[in-house]
Amino acid sequence: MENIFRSWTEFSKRQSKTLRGPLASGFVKLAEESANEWGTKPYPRGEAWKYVNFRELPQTHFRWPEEDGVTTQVADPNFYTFEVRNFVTPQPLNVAELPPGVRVQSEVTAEQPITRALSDNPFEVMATSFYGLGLQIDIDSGVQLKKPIKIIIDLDKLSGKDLFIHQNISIGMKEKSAAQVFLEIRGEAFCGLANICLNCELGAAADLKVFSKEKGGPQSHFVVNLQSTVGESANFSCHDITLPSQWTRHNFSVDLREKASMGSLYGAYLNDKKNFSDHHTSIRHSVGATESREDYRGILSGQAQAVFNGKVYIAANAAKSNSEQINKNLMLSSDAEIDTKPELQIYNDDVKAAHGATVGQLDEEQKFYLQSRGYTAERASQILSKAFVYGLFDRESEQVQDFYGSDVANSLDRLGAH
Amino acid sequence: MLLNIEDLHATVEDKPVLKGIDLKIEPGQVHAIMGPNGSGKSTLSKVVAGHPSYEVTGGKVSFEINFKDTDLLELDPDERAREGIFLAFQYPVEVPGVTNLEFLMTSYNALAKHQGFPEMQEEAFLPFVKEKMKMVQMREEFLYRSVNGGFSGGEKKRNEILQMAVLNPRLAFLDETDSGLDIDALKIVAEGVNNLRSKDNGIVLVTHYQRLLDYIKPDFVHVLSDGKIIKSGGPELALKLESEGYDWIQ
Repeated sequence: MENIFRSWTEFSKRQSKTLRGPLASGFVKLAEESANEWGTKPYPRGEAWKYVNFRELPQTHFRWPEEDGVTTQVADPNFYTFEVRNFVTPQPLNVAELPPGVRVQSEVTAEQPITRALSDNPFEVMATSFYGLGLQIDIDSGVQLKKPIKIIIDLDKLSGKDLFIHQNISIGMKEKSAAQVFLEIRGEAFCGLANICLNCELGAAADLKVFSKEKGGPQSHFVVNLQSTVGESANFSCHDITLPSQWTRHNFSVDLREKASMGSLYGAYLNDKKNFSDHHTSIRHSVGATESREDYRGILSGQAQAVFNGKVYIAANAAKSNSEQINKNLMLSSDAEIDTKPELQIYNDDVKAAHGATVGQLDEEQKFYLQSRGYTAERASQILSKAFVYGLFDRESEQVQDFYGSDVANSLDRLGAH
Repeated sequence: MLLNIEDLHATVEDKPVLKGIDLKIEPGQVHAIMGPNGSGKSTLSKVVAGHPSYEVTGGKVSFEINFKDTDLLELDPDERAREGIFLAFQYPVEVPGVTNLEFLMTSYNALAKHQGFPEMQEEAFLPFVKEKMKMVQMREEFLYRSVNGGFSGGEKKRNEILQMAVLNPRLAFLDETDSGLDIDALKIVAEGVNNLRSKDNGIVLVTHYQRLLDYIKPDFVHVLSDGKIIKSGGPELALKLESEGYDWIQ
């Protein structure tokens, strides 16, 4: 970890020169304090980091990309698409097409609670401190986007080894607004550590659906942080698929802050060879009559390792809340490992809450059903592995199916899911 | 003879469920198997279809293939399906990510290829399957939904009969196809099954209730109890069971 924090402190000093106002010096101070706290330890030992295989992280000094790109909006009939390539110094963004009431800028200025940076998550500390880099999307009251926004963070365009990337995506949705955001992180050829933070603030009766996927390679290391605060009667959902990547850590949290708000987290991880993925999620029912759904599914082959740690917290004043959480894992190899911990913390008696986890093989009843219709055992297994993942999004729109479809199918072939 | 079961014994998790079943089915016949809960009715259907959870511990099941009696127990479930054995499930399973159209067409072509008749591409298959859907009064949109995904209980049962219509099996076991159906849905399903009766195929209705037999007239009725057929007769046997229960027979 020390190498990461050394790199971070160095970057913070450089970054602070581009920032405005009193926060600038705060970043450097924060970086140095965090480096003192975290950087001197070999790696964190608390439960949140217990299973993380830090040894798989490169022990080298990370570097910033030598050449910076420019974030641009690209023409796309089906999406408002933005390709993020600005990784070092914030640059202005030329927006070609957006409906009224929607603003996208490449310099993130939205205020984010700096106290959060003192959490027990060093990657969150890092990601939230780099306000300037990334995209900020603001959607005005009552604006309902007909076309989704797509954000592509294309790390494959970067040359160089052991790169250190931070991106901060901030989405602010005023009351009664509605949007879908597709986030794609491409990094099959990327060598280094990318730390991506997605921050979503939903006003009353706002509706935001996020669909994300991360596609890494043998030298990619991703940390993806998501924080969402959900206002009264607002609805937030996130589908996230981790395609086979060397090392990934996800920290996703949803705060159902106002009454009648709803939050859903759906995720899949497809790990092969020695891939490591760790999904830590937290859903907080801060007030009553709130609702949450969580469904994470993993397929593991080879010597892959995965961690799922999902916490649902229902506060003492959150009566009439309703929560369902499940984590299912399909093990294709006896050498693969899953460490799963669905967790409920309930401080009110008048709630509905269910949680569970399964680890096993394909469902024999489903397999028999297909075989009884003439499918061979091998073909039935292929279809069911696909169905296991597709079940997370097969009732979504055709755009969503297209977004995930071929990547998931190709990944299942790689996993030898049959 | 289409199917000949002799002294069939089977266990599930080492517990004996079938304890000596004898049953003969000729082409063109409809048999009804009735019996109390736990008597082994569903197990018999699943054993014939090749469910891996059941172990056959004794007896023979032969099925006529190309005018020869073949040991059905030697075949995998998919091989049995390709030879014309069909099981309509009591609880049809959902298969997300596969549309009903894709599922039906792949099944149809697997059987067609094996049985030596022409496979169909989508342009030929669509009108073919839509015609079959009319029989069970299913709307076209069901073709483009995932297999049984979000279907109601009645829709799932109709989808089973649609599969039967598309695959045109030589021997079909309908495992409690009437359970959970309201009277209108029951009539639709029964009419579908009646349309599929022919002099060449056999149908076995596994049911708890006489009411299905008001709409599908069986040639034979068998009573299964504790893993054995304890009485066989004509349709009048089902009526007597309906009025007097199973106690008089056991």
